Amino acid sequence: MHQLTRRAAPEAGWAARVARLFSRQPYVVAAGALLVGMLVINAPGTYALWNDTQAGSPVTIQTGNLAVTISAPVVGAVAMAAAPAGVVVRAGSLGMVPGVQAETLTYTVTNTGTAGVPAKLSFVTHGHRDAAASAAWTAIQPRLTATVSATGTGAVALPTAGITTTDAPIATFTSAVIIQPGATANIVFTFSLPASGGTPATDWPRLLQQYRAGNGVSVGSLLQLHPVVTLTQVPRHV
Amino acid sequence: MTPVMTTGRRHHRLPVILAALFTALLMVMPASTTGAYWTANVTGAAGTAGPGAWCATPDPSTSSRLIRLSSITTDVSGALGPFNRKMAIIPVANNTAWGGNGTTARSLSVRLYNCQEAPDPALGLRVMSWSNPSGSAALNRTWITGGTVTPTSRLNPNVAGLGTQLRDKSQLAEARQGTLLGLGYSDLTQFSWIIAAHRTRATAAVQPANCGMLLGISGCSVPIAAVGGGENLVKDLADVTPWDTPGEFITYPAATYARQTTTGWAASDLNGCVLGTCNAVPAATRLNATAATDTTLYGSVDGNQLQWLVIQYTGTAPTDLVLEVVLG
Repeated sequence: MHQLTRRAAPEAGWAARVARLFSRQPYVVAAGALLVGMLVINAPGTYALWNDTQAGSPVTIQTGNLAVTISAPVVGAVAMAAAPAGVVVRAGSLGMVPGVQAETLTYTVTNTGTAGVPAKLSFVTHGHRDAAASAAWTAIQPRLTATVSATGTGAVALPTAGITTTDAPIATFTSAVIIQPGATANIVFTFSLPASGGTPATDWPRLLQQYRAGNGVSVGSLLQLHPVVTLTQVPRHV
Repeated sequence: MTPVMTTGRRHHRLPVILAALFTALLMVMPASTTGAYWTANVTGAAGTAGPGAWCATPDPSTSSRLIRLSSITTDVSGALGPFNRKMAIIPVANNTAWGGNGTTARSLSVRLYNCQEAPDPALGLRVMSWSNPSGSAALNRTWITGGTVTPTSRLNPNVAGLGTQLRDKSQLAEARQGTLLGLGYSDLTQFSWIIAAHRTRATAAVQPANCGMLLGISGCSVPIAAVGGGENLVKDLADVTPWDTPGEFITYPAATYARQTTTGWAASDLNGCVLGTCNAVPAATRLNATAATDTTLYGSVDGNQLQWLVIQYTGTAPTDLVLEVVLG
């Protein structure tokens, strides 16, 4: 009995030692498990499982994008002051009238993306002046005030001194304007001329009218502008 | 003893299991994230900017030779005319004050600037000029403003003297020869018509009928009634579409039957008609360059030295109606 007991003891002792090892050295075991796991993941084998199928309700998975549209420019007029004696604005005229009326060009930008993400607005203004109006441009440009603004922002000056007859970028406008999905923002260019000023004092309405009439400037065709608009997705954590 | 040992082993297995799960998660998670974001671009159509359509008559504050009709407020309605008339009498000479160059004779004319029609049945306009009626430098000349031969001087038409003489002549319906055989002085020898005598913007330089004599009686007269009149006055006289064409003013040259020479009017030329011979061809009213003093100018009967420009109107003057006195 005693020998039988001793022969059986090695098996019982091995199991006991393994059990003790598992219970007393958990970190060694975890490392071992990690090693085994990595080997198993990278080892050939199969994950094949029994499977079964059952038709469910159809589910549509949509893709998304960011897209932008821009309207045609809308020409408008903003009153500056009442016309002085001797100055008469032709009914319906939308162009600049010195000291009396400013001209506006308004573009409406729409975030039409399907991904439903907000986007930040920026644009580069391109432009050129009409070659046929060179003499009038020389007279008018130093007096011209041009600004641009976007919805919710203040107007900033648009430099016009460097505008030539060749279409080229004039200025870059980077705003903090965020256009929500499906929403719009306006880009507004404003042009105006003063009624007086200069040394010596000059009858600007009269002088500019003469330039316009005598230098081939058809009404409303002094220069042309167009914005190249970029919408940039705003990260969601922002 | 056994149950207690089993519970202790389970507690020791927990960190093992957690470690294994954490390791599996690390292996499944992507090794990095992306910074990519969407952009979209679009180019707007070109928009055109430029001057609008407006009309600006010259600003009288920039030149004293410009006169806004509505600035004339001296009322002469108590005199000959049936209407409520306003009048200004302005001395004009080819001197430095008027921009003369001192060497060249220049013709007198008046430019009329206007922007739009101003229908007013009561509106009437006459512009004419007169030379001195006599050589009396002592004739009473009472001024409203000024007192010298400058663009800003205004003779008072309501004080007896030269003012009332010129006022009354200017309110007649015509300038007449009116003397038997054409002898003696007459209105015609003093008179130059500018915006009068049937002139319109389409015929701004037209002359009235020639002077003539019939059986020794002068038939020479020049109508000086207001041109146009009523609702069409401004439209008849001025360019009312100035935003479409550069020729936005109309020039009315002064013309006279008085016989002029480049050296002045000789005494024998002061009559429109003399012994049956009339000055049938009107001439432009010239003003010689002069360095004469004002006193000398006032005493001259030479129409080439001094002209009294008379502007009168009835009704309500449009604010955009401006006259410019030109020596050109």
